[in-house]
Amino acid sequence: MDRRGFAFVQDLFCVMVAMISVSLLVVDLASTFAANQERSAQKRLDEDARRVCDDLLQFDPVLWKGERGMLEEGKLDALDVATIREGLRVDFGFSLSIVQVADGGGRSWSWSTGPPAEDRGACVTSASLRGGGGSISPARVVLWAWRD
Amino acid sequence: MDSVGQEGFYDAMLFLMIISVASCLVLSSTLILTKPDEGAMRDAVLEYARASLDSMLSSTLPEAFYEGGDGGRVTLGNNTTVEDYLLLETYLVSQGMQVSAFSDCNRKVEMIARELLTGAYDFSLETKIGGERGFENVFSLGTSDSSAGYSAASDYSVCGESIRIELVLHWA
Repeated sequence: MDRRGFAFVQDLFCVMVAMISVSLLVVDLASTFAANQERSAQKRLDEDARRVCDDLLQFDPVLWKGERGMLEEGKLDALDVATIREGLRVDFGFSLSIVQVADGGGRSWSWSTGPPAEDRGACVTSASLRGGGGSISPARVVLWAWRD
Repeated sequence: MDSVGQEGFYDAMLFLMIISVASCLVLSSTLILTKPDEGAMRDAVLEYARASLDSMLSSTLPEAFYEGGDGGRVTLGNNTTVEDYLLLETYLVSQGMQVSAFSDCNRKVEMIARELLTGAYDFSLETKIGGERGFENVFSLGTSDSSAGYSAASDYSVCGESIRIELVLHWA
């Protein structure tokens, strides 16, 4: 191989290395962008779930009884998805469950707009549940939110 | 290698270096951007601890009682709140009564907390009394994890004594 040929091979090699580097950079940028998009979408879902959780515990007049976080058994029985959607201005899919913690086992209530999506935001909180005879029991509140 | 070949080689090395530096910058920015938002997570757990403590304290015990000094049972009435029960217990224990006199209802309070909290957390419920050197522990329920966790506390004044009830959550 003469000198010119050798220089050509060197240049070719350098161009290949440069192309691989650029390709890696482009792939990295693309994955960063995708990860950030996914992350911000997840953050929005979590914020939505948190807002609904907060609003739910102050849902006047259907649930709220003058004290923050106080739900009422009878009113939970009468609650439906449409009322939750309208009352809490929920414009996304959700699944809400409230589980009463009581001596000898409690009750549970759940509402869902449909089958859950794979990407979901979550909010877990605790509330108090006013039952009959002046009893108050704690309740676990779990809400999943997703974009329809 | 002639001067033309060397020049191409140096150009390529320089380009490779620039690309490497740019890649490092992008990678570091990726790490910064995709790092979990620890502040938001911490706030969420603290909020959960607060809501759980409030919910637990406002709960009622169907039959609250403790063993009196003479071995007889002292009933506190139906629907005594966990808050009132713990305040009374903290005050009496700080005055020299044994925690064992309250063990039956303490188990109920522990059960309420355990069932209320999701499986992701262990908890300790600590009651403290204010003194000259700050709050001192009176008794604890739940796990005895001394590491720092996510806590929520409520302060009270009972018969001139400052009492604090604190719920501390730890990752299970």
